[in-house]
Amino acid sequence: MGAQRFVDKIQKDPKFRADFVKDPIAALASEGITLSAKDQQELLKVIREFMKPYVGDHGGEVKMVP
Amino acid sequence: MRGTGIYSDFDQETAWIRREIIRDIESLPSSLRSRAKSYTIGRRRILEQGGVHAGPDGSLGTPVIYAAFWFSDALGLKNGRLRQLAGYSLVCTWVAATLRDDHMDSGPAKDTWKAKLAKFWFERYHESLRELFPTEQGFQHVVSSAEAEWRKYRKWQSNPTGSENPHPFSEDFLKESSRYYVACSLPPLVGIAHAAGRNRDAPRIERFLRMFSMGLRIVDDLMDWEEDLTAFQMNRSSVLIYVKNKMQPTGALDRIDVLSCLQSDELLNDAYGAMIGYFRKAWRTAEAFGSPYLVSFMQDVMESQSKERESLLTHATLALSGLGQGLTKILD
Repeated sequence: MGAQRFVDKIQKDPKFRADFVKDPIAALASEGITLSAKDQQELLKVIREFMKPYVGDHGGEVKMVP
Repeated sequence: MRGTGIYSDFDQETAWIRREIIRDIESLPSSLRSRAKSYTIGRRRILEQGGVHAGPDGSLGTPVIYAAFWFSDALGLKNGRLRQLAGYSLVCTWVAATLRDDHMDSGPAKDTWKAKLAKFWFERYHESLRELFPTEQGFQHVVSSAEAEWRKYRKWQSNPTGSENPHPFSEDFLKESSRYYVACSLPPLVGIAHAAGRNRDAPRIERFLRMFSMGLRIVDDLMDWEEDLTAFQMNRSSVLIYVKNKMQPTGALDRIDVLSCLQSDELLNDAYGAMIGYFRKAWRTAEAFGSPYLVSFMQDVMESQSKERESLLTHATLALSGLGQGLTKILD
């Protein structure tokens, strides 16, 4: 799945979005996408920013990158 | 309308109710007084400074005490004391029902003071309600109908979804889940019709209340979903049932599942569309009463909920767009 299709799916499919937010690295891996450690940290920042209005600054249940 | 507004026109009546509630509290044994105050100020916000509060956000009320004054006006009830008693009985039934529910939630053996206070305010409710009815027969009929509503509600609570997979925003489901509001509020409003010699209007009052209550149930479910999720009451919440049907989780729903759904246009449009639809039906029924208060209130409710929907849709779109941009930078 290309990046744009992945983004589209996250935007359109609440179930996929929930799975992605809960464990983004696993969700990406299941689509054959692997990220560098730096990109993983960046990804977590993006998700935290996205969830901030809903779960606050602490990030709620967003899974930490190992 | 008398003058300045749908709430402020009734400042005198609400001040009278406030005085009565204070007098009630002072008549209680000292061991119950502070608890009674905490329920009427903190839990139900009846005794806030400045008078009787309209409701959680000033536009939607639980209880909508003012409904007693608006229906009195619509039905031409001129007797000031009876108008006040109708409002007072509405307050008493909501305080009593809240206490009774909280007592049941905490377990019958615990917090028995809640049961004592509930009994006290149910007695005040029955005494004031009785005065509205010219005949004992009329009073008994309305009270027994309300008790039947309570029984149906409790039966439904024990198995809300049954073996079916209910459509959570359907009239069938919401009629059951909002029966609580009807059981609490209908008797004083029907009492007003009897006091005004307008018994024939009782079915229309009931229709208004049922439609309004179904819309209000969705409002409450949207406000309380986190509490319902933690309290394992998801099979009573229209919003959580909707999310479960949509997400088909393998385990229990969690906050992220619900939040992900709340960011979707589909849920927001379905929930707010159904809610505003029920409010619209209530509004049309209110129009038939020719009451400017009721019509104005319903217009305010529909307008505020429509704005809320637009605001949530805009926020969700912006948040998703931000997520998309952030991901594109990382993945491309």
